[in-house]
Amino acid sequence: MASHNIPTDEDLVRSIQQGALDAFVTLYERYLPSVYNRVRYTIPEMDTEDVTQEVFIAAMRSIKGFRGDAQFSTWLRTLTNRQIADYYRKRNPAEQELDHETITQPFGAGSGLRKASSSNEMANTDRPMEETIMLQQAIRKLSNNHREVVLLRFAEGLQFNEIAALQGQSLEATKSLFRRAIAALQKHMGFDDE
Amino acid sequence: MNEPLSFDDPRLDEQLASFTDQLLNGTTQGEGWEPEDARLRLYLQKLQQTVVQVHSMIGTMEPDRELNSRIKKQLVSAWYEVKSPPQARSVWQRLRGIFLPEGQGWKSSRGARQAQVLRLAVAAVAILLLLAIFVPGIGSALEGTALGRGGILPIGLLVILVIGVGLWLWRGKSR
Repeated sequence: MASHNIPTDEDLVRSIQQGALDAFVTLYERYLPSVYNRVRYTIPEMDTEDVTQEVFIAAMRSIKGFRGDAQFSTWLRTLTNRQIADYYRKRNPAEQELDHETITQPFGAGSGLRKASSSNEMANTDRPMEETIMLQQAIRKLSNNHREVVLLRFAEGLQFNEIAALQGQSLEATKSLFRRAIAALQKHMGFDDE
Repeated sequence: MNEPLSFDDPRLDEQLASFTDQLLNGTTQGEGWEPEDARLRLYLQKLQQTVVQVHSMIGTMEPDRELNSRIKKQLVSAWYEVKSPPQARSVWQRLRGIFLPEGQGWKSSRGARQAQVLRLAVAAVAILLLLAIFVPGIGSALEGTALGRGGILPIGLLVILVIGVGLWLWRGKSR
């Protein structure tokens, strides 16, 4: 199949703006994995599906205003981050307190945290929920640019050169940012207990 | 005395990025650069360990087919709501809007929970109202008050009204 038969995001957006539902479904299928994984890294598992759905509903409502000034993927990423922020803003204090109580146990040595033996090890099989919540909280504590580089590499699976191009910086600067982000994450997770 | 460490060595960045690539791509770990300084070596090892932890805890995964279908179904019904021309809402639709979250065509479990709480609150107010009106003794004698006999009924209704408005405002805030 020739690649020019595959519609670009911009083609699909134009079709959606003219009322084509199938174009929206195609775009949804294309971006579900990246949106879903980004949400999984930041939202408790029980609400992941709802928030993922809300991202696409929000996209559906506001796509008419998309003018193509930025790439669609960037626009959708911004929308996803906004929905995640809304999710935490709307949560009542009792729910946030519950999260806090769940993760009062230290995360480092002795917490029963298992190490991955291979990259194929699937993450959320029998993994203790509190550890995931703690990781999500640690990610949320990162500065915007640190969080973004972590999510782009881990959640969306972009390569470092793609992240560099997306962020408009050199490959070296991106790798340096990534290293500093991991160091910050390590600190928030309590791993730097020297 | 230990010398101050330089964490700005670009080889550290390169080594961690390479380690991450190999881990995420599932390729075997090759021999890479290793800092001579033991403290830098430990620093790098801990960073690598953090990368492994992050990947092992959440990783990346394809959303399963059921989840994909569920969301798609909701999106299709939401599509027709979003695209349908705005119509004047009937009194019934307005009342229905009190109980269902915005975008009634799709129901998230969170939205459903909010609606459930609201339904319970409205039911409680309705029961209080019926009690205030029909149960003998409530809303009758209240000797010695400024309002005299029957003064408790309007007070009760006022309290119910205040609760109702409070719930309404709370709902608006929680959206």
